[in-house]
Amino acid sequence: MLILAPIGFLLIACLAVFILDLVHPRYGTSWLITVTAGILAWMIIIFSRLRLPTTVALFSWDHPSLNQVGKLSLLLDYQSWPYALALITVFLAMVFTDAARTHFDSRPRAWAASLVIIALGLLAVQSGTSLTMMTAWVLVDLLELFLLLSLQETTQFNQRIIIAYGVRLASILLLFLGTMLGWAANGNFDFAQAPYPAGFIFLMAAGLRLGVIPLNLPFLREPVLRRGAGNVLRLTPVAASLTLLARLPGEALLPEAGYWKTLVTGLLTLAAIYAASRWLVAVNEIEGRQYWIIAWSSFATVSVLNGVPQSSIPWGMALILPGSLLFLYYPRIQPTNFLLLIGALCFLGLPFTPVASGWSGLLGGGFTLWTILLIIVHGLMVLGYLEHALKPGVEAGVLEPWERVVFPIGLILILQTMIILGFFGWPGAFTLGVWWVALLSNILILTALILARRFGISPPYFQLPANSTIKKVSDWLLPRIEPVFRLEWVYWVAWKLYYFFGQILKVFSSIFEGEGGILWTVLTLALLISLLTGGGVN
Amino acid sequence: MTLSTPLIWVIVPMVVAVVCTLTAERRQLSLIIACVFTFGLALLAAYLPQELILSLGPLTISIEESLNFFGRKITLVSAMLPMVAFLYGTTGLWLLSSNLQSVPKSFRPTSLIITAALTAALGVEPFLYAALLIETAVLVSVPMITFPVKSEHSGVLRYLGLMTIAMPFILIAGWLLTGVVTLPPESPLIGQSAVVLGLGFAIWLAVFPFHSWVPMVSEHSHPTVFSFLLFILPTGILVFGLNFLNRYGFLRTSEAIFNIIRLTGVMMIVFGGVSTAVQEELKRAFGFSILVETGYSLLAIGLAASGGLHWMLMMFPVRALGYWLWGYTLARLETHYGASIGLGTIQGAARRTPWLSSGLILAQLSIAGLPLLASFPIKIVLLSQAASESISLGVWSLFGSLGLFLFSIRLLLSFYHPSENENDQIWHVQEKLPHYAPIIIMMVVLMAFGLFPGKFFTGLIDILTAFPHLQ
Repeated sequence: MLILAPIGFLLIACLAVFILDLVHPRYGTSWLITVTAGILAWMIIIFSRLRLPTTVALFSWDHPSLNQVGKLSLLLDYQSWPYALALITVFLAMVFTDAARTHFDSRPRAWAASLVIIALGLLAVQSGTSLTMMTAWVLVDLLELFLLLSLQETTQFNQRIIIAYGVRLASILLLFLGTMLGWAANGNFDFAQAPYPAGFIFLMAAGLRLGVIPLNLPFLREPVLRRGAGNVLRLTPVAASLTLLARLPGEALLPEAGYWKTLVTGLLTLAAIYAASRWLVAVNEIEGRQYWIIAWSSFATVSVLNGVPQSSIPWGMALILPGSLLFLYYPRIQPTNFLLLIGALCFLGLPFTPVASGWSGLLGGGFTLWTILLIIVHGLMVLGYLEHALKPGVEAGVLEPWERVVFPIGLILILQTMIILGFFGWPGAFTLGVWWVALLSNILILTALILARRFGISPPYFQLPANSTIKKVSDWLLPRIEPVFRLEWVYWVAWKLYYFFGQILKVFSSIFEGEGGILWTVLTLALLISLLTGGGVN
Repeated sequence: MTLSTPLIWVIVPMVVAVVCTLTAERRQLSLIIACVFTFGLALLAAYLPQELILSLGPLTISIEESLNFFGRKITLVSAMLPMVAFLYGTTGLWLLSSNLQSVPKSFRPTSLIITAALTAALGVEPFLYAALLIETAVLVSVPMITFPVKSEHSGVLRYLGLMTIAMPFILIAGWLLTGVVTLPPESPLIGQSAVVLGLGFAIWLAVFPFHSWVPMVSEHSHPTVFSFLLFILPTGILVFGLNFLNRYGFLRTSEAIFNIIRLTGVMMIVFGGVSTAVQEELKRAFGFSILVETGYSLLAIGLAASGGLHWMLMMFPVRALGYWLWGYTLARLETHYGASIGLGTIQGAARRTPWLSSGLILAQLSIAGLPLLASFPIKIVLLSQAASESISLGVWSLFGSLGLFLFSIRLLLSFYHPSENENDQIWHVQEKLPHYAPIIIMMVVLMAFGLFPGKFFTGLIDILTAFPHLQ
């Protein structure tokens, strides 16, 4: 019941806010209902840390002909709890900070949508079986599709939104495939014991959903709801995928499949490098959000590939919590800018900070070329964060008095949660970690900062002077190599192949459906029979 | 008072069909008569006690299982009644939507006759006469599938031709098989009779390369009519096919036959799926999707040794719901966008007919096996069983299903594609509640089936008790 209570509170609140908005719109009451539901859910999730692992069986298909495999259950364990807490924290922070965004996209309908998205997100991160996860993913995706298509005011993003949904659908089908192969091999199984190749397929499913295997960026610009509810909408499916990564067995790939590991790690590193460099030069944090997600997701996925799925959690937390701190920090109030810098401390990877336990995931079996590249990516991510964090804000006077109180509470809540998670979020969270890698990364960051100053570039704008040669070269080169990095050529080739086969099939159809169709039918039958008998089937 | 099961479920529907023909001009009356009788027959078959004695107050009606008819006997045992209930229930479902614009007047009587003929085929003795009854159903169906297009169209001729060619194959196979039981296993006659039988069923079920009539007919017929026909005929044929498996031990025990059936099933899934993915016309895509479903049925039969027949039977209700929703939404879309509905003509439809568009997408996704929707539980279990036999069987089958998902995404893209000069997302909803209420109900039902399959799919499996060797 402990697992279901937060979901129940959120759904009831969603219904209440929706009905209230329909019947008698009251901004304040809707806000209070949303906050109350969020706080109750947050407290229950915090309390449930004392009762881990907790499981609840929802229902089963329960028929002998379905082999008793169809069980739907929820599981709150050391892997899902941090994500559940992070999600509800982001939601609560969104509602608190939304109080200061009344002139933007802060609306009761958006809260109702966020309430249901978070409820489904909790369902997804607490999925106890692959079947539950598939169901939750389908629900989250359909809801996201519906919200994105119905809330936007122009048609220009429709195609991108649907393609993004198509990618999500493909990830669900990979989960389907993994489950199917897992059942074929073992019967019923849970994630931690996923047999080969089911474990590897699950990893691919999560990677595809996160946009890292292969790199895919459906939204080059955010379609609607950029802040607030938009942040919840963006991060909930990500959290659901990251939970799957954290739950996978350490040996998701068999040792003899080393070439697969090298290939996928290479793709992930490529994605991370591209995303980090785009994050660094992004116009603002919202435009860079998808790159932020991709870079940290690559770190989490590499951790699983290296056989340390537990280490994907700190990278996941770095993605969700400090990211939300930045994305929800609007309007920028100069006196509270320091909160963002505290947020940066949480993902610098220093010993005894939340991300300290993540380095072991990047190292895996040893220090390789990939590790060096990923350390550089880490540095770029920190630098990008600093650039966005150090941008000047406005004076607090632009806010109403009550907004001045509530707005920072939302941000502080995120920081508090990061500290809580850093201490006991997951086994081994409060650790020295691989301190020398952290040291290396932070030295790199410091060096970059010093060099930037020497070249006359100072935060908050890590932009090269417009008349510098490097700037001219990069301006010419970047647009040309970007399509290569974004792997759009792969999708172009796939589309051409699809078109080619489509044409062949159409010719085939016109032959069979034409005047001589029956004769072709008989001929094909004769050919098939001769092929089959020739193949030894008598 | 004494009645017989064939009298109730074969003769009475024929009489109702005649009444419907006579009242065809009064559409509402005809609709009420057809629906009341059809659902009544379905409920009676579902709730009739196993002893076949019906007590209504002082009146006790004893129902016999057989009826002699022109020297032949039709026997509908109580174990077969769940199937009868299902056939009439689904016919009733389609009849409910028979008042849609441009559904032929002949649809109501014809659908009743087809269902009655297939019901008779379930229990006719000698059982080979079922082939004649199926042929009757085919012949009767011709006027309704030619209805909107008065001119000759070759799809119907091909349908009629191939289905009629199938009948002698089945009859010859039956004739050959009468002597097979006494033959030694190495006799070539066994293989020859299996090939003839296989060819007959392959033609009936529109297995590649005998499939060409399916997209041709689907393209030109009314969606309600076509979806009904392509649901009810294969269902009847597949259940009839169980007779052969039940009667002839060599068919049940031959590993090679099951291998071929499995392979054919996977080939149909892949062919149908890939063909669906590249279609432009919605009705043709539906036709190819039906080939995928036939493939799943064959795959299930091929896995009979591991419970495949259960899954084949469990797929029937889900398929019925999916096909019905597909037929209904396509029929409604036709009234908005004309008879030839392609991906190009429905651009921006989601902003004018959102429920219809959602219904069509959901029908497609349900048939494809999207988690949460009706056919998912059975398909994932079936595919995992196939994968346990051979991983490539499972993977290729899923690959075939991908085609349906891909077409769904293309459909979605078209529905939301802005028409020319349409930059703003302006919603001009043109739907009325009575039009989309059935879609909402069906969406809920599809999800309920997907989440609680054990609660809904069990009844039909009981018909296997009528086939003692197949349990």
